[in-house]
Amino acid sequence: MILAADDIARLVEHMRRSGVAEIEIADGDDALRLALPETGDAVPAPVAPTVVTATACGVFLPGHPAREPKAPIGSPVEAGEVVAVLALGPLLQPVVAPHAGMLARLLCPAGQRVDFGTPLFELVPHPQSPEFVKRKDV
Amino acid sequence: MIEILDTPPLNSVQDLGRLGFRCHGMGRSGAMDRVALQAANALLGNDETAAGIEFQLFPAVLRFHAGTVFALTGADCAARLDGHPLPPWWAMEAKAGQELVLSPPQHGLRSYLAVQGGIDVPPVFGSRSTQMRDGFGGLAGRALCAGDRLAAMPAPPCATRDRAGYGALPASFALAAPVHETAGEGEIVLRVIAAAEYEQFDEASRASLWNMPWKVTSQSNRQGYRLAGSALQRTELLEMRSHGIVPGVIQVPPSGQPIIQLADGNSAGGYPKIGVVIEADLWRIAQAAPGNILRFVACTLEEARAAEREIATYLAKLRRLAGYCRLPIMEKAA
Repeated sequence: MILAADDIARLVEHMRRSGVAEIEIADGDDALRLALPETGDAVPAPVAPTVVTATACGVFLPGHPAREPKAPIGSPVEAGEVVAVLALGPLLQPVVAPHAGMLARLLCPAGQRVDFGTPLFELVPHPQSPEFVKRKDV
Repeated sequence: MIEILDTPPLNSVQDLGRLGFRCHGMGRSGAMDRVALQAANALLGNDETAAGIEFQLFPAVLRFHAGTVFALTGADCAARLDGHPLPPWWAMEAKAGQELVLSPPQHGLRSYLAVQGGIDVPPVFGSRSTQMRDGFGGLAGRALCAGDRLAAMPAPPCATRDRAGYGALPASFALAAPVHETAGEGEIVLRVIAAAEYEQFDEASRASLWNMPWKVTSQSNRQGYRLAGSALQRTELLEMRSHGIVPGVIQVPPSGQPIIQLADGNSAGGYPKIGVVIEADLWRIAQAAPGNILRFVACTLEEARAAEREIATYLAKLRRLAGYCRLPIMEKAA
C-alpha cells in the first residue's frame, strides 16, 4: 500500500466531511489507522441533501415568474412551501419542499422542459430543524 | 361562507359587470381587472360571470367558515393561509376555520379572490357587482367591512390533485405586452384607438398623445384615472352635448389633462374624446398605481380584436388545463 501524504490528507478531509471518527485500511502486511481527535465537535455532521424531483411535466421555473429571486438558492424554505413551478401553457403546477431547509443546489437549468421524476433541487435540512436531528440520529 | 375579519374601505364584491342598462344611466361596474377575475374563476371551473372580491386596499384578513377551493389573482399580495405562504395567481384548498391574510402589493394595485361557485349575493339588473356610487348590487350596495359574511353559491365538492394547489401564469407574462418605441422601463403601454373628436385637437396635442408620458395622479379610482402630462388643446372650443361613453374613453376636460373613464365611470359625458383604450388593455390600467407612467400607442380595430382573442385563448386554455388539477369528491352512498 503506497499512500502519499496528499492521499492521507484527502482521506482525513473525507472523514471530517462525512463525520467518520476512525478508519483502518489493511493491505497485506501494511495497515493504516486514522483517528480524528474528539473535539466535542462544534461542526455538525453533514446531512445528505434531499433531492426534490418534478411531480408533473412542464417547463421548470425556479421560484415563481412573478417573484424575485428567480432561483431561491440559499433561501430558507418551509415544509410544504412552493419552491418552483412547472409551466404547462398557462397552467402552473407546484414543486414543493418536502421538509424545511435550505435550497442548496439547482439540478436542472431554469426554463428546461422536465418530466415526472426529473431531479430539480437539492434541499438541505436546517441544522436546527427536527428533520435534521432525526436524520442525525439514524 | 367567508367572514371578513378586517378590511380597509373600498374592497367590494364584483363580477364582470352590468351590461345593457347604460341607456338608463347605469354604468358597467364590475371588476377593474377583468382578466384577473376571469382567470380566478377559470382556475376553479366557475361560471365566467361568477362574483369574487376585489381588493384595492390592504391589509385584509378573512376566515373561511366552510371548506372550499379558492383562487387569488391580480396584484401579488403575498397572501398567507394560516401563516403558510402562497404564490401569486394561485388556487388551493382552504379548510373550515383557516385564515387568509392579504398584504399590500409591491407591484400592481388590485387583487381578486374567487371561491368555488362564486360569491352568493343577489343579482341586481343581471349582475352581482357592487355599484358603490348609487348603492346597489354586491353586499347591500356597499364596500365590505369587518364582520361581513359572504356565502358561496353551491358547487360540486372537489379537492386539488396536489395539496399545494396549482396556479396560472399571470396575465402580464401570458399576454404579449404592447410595444411603444420610447417607453422606459416599467412604463405601462396601452393600445388606443382615436376617438370621434381626435381630429379637433391641434397637431402638437395629437403628437403628445402618442409621444409623451402620462402620469397616473392620485385622483384615480374605479370611476376613472386622471392623468398629468402636457396639456392637450383643441384648435377651437366647441360645445358638446352629453353623449354615451364607455370604459376606456380618454376624455379631455378644459384643463387639457386627460381622464380615462373606467368601471364605475359615468354612462354619459360631454367632454371631447381624443381616444379610447382598447378593452383588452383595461386590466393594465387597473394595476397601474398613482405615480406610474402610461404610454399610448395607436392601434387598429383588427389589432384590438386580436388582443381580445389572445385573452380569450389564454383563459380558455387555463380553464381546460386547471380542470385536470381538481378531483371531484364523491359523496358516500348511504
